[in-house]
Amino acid sequence: MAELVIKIPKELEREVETWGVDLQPLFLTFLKREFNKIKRFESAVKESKSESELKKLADEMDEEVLWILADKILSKSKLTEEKANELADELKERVAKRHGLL
Amino acid sequence: MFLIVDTNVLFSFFHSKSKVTGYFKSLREKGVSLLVPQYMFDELLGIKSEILRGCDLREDNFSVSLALLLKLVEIIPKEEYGEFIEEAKRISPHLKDAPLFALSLAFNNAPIWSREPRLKMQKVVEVLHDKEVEKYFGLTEA
Repeated sequence: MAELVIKIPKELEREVETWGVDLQPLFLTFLKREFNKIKRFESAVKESKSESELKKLADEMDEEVLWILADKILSKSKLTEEKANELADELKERVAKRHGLL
Repeated sequence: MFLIVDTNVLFSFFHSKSKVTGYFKSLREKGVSLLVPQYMFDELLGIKSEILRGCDLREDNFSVSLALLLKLVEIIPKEEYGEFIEEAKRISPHLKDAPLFALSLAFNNAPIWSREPRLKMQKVVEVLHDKEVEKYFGLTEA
């Protein structure tokens, strides 16, 4: 099994000492829960669930965790400004069509 | 405070060197609600494969970014701005921009955040480019 060493800031360390709990099961529970939420969301995307269903699942996820993951993921993105504009235009057109405008 | 977000700004979110992600953070901290019209995310999923190809991202990576975006913006149902569509069609420089203008009108002419220059070709709704958003809301990048 892989081993992970985590540095804990002083203020958090004090809280941990107050509760007197073992951090390992706590940390693993948190990690499993957050990854499960991401997997649930991913399945919903694959199943093309509705906007409201996706929004509900997204709202259950921890924003800080998502920022950390997204920062890492998007640092590798190869999307160019030109391609982004092209996709944005296509998206706008699709939305307008759904509104019966085009 | 409300700010209507155009699709070209949303897509910058998937751009690695974009300042937009920093702006999203700062706007949220300032209590600005970022609004998008209904169907935006439905249709975003419709072009998912093109986004994945364009970004060179895996599907699970896309899901994480999408989940974050969904947390950051509010999807406004058409019922809340539908009555403004006709007026928006008259104002909007192009018909495909009308949902954005309708949303703006429904929220007391809330400004639109866009990188599309044609949106400024009207005088009813204020349209802000990235730098103007920064100035309008007094942002410092997060």
